Amino acid sequence: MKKTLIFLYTCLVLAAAAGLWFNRNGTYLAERSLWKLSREYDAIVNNTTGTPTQNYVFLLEKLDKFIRRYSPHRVVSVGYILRGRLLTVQGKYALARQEFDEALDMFAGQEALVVQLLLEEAQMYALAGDHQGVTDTYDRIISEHALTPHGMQGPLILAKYFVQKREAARAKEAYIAAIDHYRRLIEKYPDSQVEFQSRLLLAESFKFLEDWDKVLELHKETLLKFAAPEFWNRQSLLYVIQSINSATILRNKDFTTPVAIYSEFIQKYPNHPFNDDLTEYIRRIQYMEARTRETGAPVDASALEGAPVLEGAPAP
Amino acid sequence: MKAFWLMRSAAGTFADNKIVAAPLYLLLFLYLAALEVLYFIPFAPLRKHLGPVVQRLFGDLFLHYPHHLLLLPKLFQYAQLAVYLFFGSLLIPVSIALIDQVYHQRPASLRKAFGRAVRAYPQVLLLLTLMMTVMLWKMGLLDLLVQRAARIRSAAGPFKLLKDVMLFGAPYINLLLDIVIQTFFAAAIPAVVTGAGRIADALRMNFRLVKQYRATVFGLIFVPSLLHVPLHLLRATAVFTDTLPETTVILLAAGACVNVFVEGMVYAGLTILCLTPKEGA
Repeated sequence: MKKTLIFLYTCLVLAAAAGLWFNRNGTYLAERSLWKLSREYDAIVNNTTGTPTQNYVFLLEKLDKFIRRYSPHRVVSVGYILRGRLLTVQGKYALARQEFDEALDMFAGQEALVVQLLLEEAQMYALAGDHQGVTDTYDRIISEHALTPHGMQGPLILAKYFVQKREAARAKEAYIAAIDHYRRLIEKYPDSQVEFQSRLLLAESFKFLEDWDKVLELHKETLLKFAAPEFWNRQSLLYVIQSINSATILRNKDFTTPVAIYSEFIQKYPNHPFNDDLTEYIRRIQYMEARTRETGAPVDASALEGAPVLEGAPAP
Repeated sequence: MKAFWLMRSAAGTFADNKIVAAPLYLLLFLYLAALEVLYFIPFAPLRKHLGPVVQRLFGDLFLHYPHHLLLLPKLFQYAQLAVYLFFGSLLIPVSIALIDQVYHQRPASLRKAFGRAVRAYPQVLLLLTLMMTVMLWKMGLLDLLVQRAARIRSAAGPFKLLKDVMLFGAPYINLLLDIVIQTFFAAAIPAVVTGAGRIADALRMNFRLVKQYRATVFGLIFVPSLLHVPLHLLRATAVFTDTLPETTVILLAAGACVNVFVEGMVYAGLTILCLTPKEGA
């Protein structure tokens, strides 16, 4: 029995050793190394008292070793991103760009990774204050990866970037370009998830240009055209309803239009899962209207904030 | 005091007759093998076969470092339960039968002990299933209480105290309740193996023992179970799991060792207690 037990425990240890040895260059161990390097990276960038240059150099070397050891695993892309970020923090933008370009060559064809790397590159340009670099990188995301989530939102992100940088003229230009882009997508992919998303993003672009009629028209059309629940999640439905309410009730004290839109929806789709929530919205809007007329007080937006949780909509 | 005497006797039995501990080493081996398999799920070649199961049940994230190590305690808990029920029901009775042989000064025969354990297997499996069901039901109830306590919003006063006790003390309350439940069932297993035969007789004998030696049985289970406390404390210390997630594996392996040690001490002590009154009679 003693010998059997010794044999069994030896097998257990040997199996563990063999498992680790055969997977020494595998994804899991690469992830483990990366996790440790990420923690070192966090410690450096979150150090508010100043990090000695030597620490940057050490971590850059470690990341380089990691990249060389585990290439061409997917996780290596994060190694490149961390190196690029470290170089960006140090103000070595040209070297950071080199890192991102090298990674882009290595992972060409893996769309999600490429988009992630391009976003990092755009972030690097933004920190360098290179507006043209940001624009070019986003243009690349928009043109080459148009249907990825970042590709879809790219035109809006770029416009918001210029707003943030107080470049009013370029921001307006970017919003107009975004509108053209989303209109093209709507034409190119009718009745699809792409059209649905493009409509929401188009409305968002019109919001910036304060063209509230267009916002309202788009949301009304979207709600009525894309009634199938698979298009929606809680966030998108709340966003559309709040946008409709803002464009009507809060801006013009117009209580009739939202009620008309929601009623039309309920009438058109009598057994729709959103109907209970929309009915509750109608009830609240009508109550708000009566209160506002009665007291003459300004519209209290908070009355709609505690509105239904939209349980009919799937979670995002 | 009798509980300590029983523990000393149990330890003496293990020390003088190494073969008595052999089934327990085998049980520990099975626990550790299960842990090893679960740890290696994200590695080749297991990833190909078990990866999709984890992916479907818990999500792709848990096949990656360090999230896999967050899931590992839960998976190991299920695995341990299965090993304990199906293999523990055989191996613990083997150990009990060996103690019986030693107690009656007969030569310790693994073969004979195994034969007795196989005969008692259905009854022991049923008893352990019953005990585990009660424990799982209690755990579910405790979870509900913890969830309710988490919703207490008082920042001071008795409700705040209750919330703190429930949130931070849950593992210890769980351990204490486990000991209480085990006190009411544990002696039935040695009773089945040492001669009661039928479950009803074993339970009757168990309740008689618990009634007669309530403090002794409780103490016999409680004292070795205290070894779980440092493990709970270490597990609760985020320093380990945050800086070195692999500590989870070491703590789980240590937990398995403690489990087997506690089981060994408890069942050896209870077997001796079961046999003692018989001798007196």
